[in-house]
Amino acid sequence: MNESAIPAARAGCSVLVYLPYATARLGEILSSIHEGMRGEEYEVLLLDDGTGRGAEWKETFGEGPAPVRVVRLARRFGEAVALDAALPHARGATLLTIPAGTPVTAEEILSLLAEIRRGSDLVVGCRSGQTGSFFERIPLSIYRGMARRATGIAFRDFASGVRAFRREVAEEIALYGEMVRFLPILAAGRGYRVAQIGIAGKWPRPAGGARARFQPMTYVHRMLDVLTLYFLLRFTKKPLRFFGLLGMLLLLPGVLIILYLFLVRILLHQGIAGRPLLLLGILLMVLGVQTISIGLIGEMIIFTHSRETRDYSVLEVLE
Amino acid sequence: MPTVPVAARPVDLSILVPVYNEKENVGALHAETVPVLDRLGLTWEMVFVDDGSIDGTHEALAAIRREDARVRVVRLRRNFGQTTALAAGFDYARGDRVVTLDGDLQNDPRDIPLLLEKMNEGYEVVSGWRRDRKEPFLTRRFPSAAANRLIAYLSGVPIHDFGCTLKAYDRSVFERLPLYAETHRFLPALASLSGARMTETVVRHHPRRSGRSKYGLSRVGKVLVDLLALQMILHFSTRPRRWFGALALPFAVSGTVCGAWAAAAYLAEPEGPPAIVLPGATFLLFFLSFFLLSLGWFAELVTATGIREKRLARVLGGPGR
Repeated sequence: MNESAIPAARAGCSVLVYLPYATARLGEILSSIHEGMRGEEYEVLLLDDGTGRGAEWKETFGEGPAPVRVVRLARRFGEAVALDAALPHARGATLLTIPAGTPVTAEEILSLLAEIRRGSDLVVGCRSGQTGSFFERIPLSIYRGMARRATGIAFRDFASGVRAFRREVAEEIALYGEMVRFLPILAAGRGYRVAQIGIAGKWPRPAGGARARFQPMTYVHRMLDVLTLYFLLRFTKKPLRFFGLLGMLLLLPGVLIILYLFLVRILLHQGIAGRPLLLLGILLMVLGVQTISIGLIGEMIIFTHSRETRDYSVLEVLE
Repeated sequence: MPTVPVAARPVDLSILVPVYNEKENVGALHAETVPVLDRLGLTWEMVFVDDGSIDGTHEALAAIRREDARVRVVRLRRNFGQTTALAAGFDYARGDRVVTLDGDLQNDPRDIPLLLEKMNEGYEVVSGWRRDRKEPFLTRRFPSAAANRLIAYLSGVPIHDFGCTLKAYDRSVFERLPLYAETHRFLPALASLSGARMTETVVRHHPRRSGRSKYGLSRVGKVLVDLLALQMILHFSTRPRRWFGALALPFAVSGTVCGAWAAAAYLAEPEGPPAIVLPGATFLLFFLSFFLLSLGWFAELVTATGIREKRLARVLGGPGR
């Protein structure tokens, strides 16, 4: 870390620019930040996520209308860890995150902050033009629908890296791994007021540039996200309800099949060795027992740590 | 763990009231409780946990707070449910003892001294028993009685009324209560985990004066599933290796029998038809027994790491009291 003094004052705004790779557009990003924040009390933190270019950036962009500081991570850790590491170094009461890959104009920064001033706790800058191919749109619409049912907010793009939020949101919600992408949903789930605004969110494509290709792994990741989201919203606090039910659905047919075959063998004296049903029954029983047991272990983890985790979020205390 | 530093314990008694949309009731509740508490000769506080009310309960509570400095209001961001509201209240309570009270005036504050008397006799948890409930029989009293019998039977805690909010806890017990999801119905059973000395006492019960009940029949199914989960947790969480081991044993024995049988059949007639069923059964049984056994070890790991931090088992009269 370049600057290790942990500031005490909590005022103004900290802009966190997440940089997992060196980008030639950093100058552009910074100038729109400086323009959008003009007249505000603010600072900029460049999160150097293992690119090794932090010192260089500090030299090039350190002199500006507001302090530009660099938080350097030893290697690439990902957005969640970078934000978490930068949090104690950020002085602002409001935090603004901007990923390197998404352009944000000065006007968009202004409207993000305006939404916070209007009383929202978290504002997402939803990128437009995120249609993608047909196959990409299916899981997208599924998980938008799920997010809407869970939070009551019709998110257009909750996974966007452009967000403004009050400091306490980040301090209360543990960020790790992929969870940072679900921040708006987790925040809404804890009762924070979440809003969204639209942003353009795309660098103009240079003439003759290549179109984005369809990547099958993206599809797999999205489907996994859907599952994560579903589990996260419904069952984090009661794993046994989820896995127990699933396990019973597997175990019961398995038991019935084996019982049936047993009766066929005993009463009708028919051989059952050649029947694939036997293997199916065994498979279902094994899967059922495994699933239920996993749920039990999960429930145990929740149970033993129940008093260390705060499930609630306090708005205010009068005393 | 309590995030609020409870460095000093400035009061003897905390009255903890979780409320959700009880605008009409909180004022009366406060007015009826204060004289009872003042007669006790103890220092006390009243902690209201506003569980995300949207009917103006918060304004009513703020008004009470302005009049009475012994009232504290913890306002949650949204409605989290009764278990979580209770957990928040326990985290913020500063008293050596906590009495939990319904926000809808169905409990009678005049019963608080009864509970405290029982505590003075040496009990650490005193549960209220609404022997004469003022509610419709078919939708409320009957399902609730059946659930109570079942919970008492399964948890081995001989209490008649698990659902009564009016309960008194010693700090050494409520600090450790594992509260999560919807476990508030099983609080006495959970308290029994740490070996709390428990009793119950008959309390008065009034019909709801105003506001709406937040319960219905729909909870029965959920309670049953949770009860099953609780039952497993109660059994498995203290000595999981032994419990999983006991589960694995019959599978291991029958697996061995099947395996021996299959081997014998093969040795007797090596050129006979291919054996499928017996080896298959052996495979299944051995798999299950090994799986359960290793799961027991794993569960031991999980609970061991938790218990070291939390000390579920209390030492009676120990320095930690």
